[in-house]
Amino acid sequence: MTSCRTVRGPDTAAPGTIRPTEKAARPQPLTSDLRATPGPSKTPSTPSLTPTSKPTSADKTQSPPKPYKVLASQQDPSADALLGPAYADLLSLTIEDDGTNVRITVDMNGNLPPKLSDEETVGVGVNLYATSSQTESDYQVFVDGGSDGWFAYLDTPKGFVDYPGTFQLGGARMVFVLPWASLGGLKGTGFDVFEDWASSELVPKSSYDRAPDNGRTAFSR
Amino acid sequence: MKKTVARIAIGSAIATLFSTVSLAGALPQGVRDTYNRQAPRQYATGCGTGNQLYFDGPARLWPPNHKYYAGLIAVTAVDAQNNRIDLNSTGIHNQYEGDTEWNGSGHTADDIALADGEDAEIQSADGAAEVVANDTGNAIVSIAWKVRSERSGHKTAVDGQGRVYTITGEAAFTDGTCKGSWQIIVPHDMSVKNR
Repeated sequence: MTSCRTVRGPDTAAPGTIRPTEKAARPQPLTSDLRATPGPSKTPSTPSLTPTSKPTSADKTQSPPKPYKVLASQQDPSADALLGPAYADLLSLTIEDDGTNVRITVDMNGNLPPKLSDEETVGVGVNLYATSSQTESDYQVFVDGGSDGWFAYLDTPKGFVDYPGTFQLGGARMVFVLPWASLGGLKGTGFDVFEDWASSELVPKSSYDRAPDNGRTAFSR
Repeated sequence: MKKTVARIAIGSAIATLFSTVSLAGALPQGVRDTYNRQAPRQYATGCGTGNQLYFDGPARLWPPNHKYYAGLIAVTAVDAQNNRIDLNSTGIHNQYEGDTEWNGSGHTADDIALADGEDAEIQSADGAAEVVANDTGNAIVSIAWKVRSERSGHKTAVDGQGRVYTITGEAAFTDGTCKGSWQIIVPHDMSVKNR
């Protein structure tokens, strides 16, 4: 037997290889517009929303703006994430449709800090399933929170792509607006949302929350 | 990158909003070039004249979104004379604590497993930390894996700054044997030291 070390060969990265960290989007501040989405009444310090404060590709298709229609909403009990802080406790997720874009609103039980401590990590993911038999989601909007703030990503069956819409964060709310086309034109089936939080302080702690607690919530458009 | 801080009155409540606005190029070039892409193929050495044992896959994954990497992860052996090859490959990571004792990021199961459709024979028990697989064939044999972009959110003494997946390969050719070991890293966070 010959014991051997590994060496690097020629770069085999294919053109167009996915590099998700350049695909991330930073959050924009939420704008105040009380005409827009009704959120859960128990959400603290959370303004209602308009899709964005700055025109993006997702918004350019809205001329004039079309009203959003709620497709589905999933509530989650408060304080069920146990050890985690309130901002790591899911309260609700709402999916809305304006015919072109999907607006996904995630409400937490406490105000989201602009940055976390060096010892903290948070991940929030909204999974979208095209069929009910799948164990892995087709599309996922994921937000990574850390000491540098928040980054949003879109994962697809082919991996990460340029985040194609807007990401707003403020109060206890996160709002994502993306073209349905970036989700493969999904007509519906199911979604779930998860949140994980961990702290590596002197006494390590972590929490996990999910909505719905089991299974998925159906939606269709 | 423009950093903004704004205070907006919402009814009787005051919401303090912070945001760093930068939709393009939010992270440094080093990050863009390193994460979630196929790394250069890595070859084992000492496999005999013309024989090859190599690994295809990413070197680093981010973000930790609990999903499997969408690209190829595989250990492949090639016999220069098209002779028989016995290939053994193992997969493991260093954060099983995160699978069992914590319920934050890192709790998911089967974070490293044979790829869907892989027909190699699994030799390890169900639920074992280390997955062991064997395959045999002539000329070229490959064992494909899938790996979750996942890590524990804790910085334990063991995991240090993140998760390390280790995939090994050992190929027995008619004229010798060689082995290699390769790693896929999911850092704890995307702080400057990890870019």
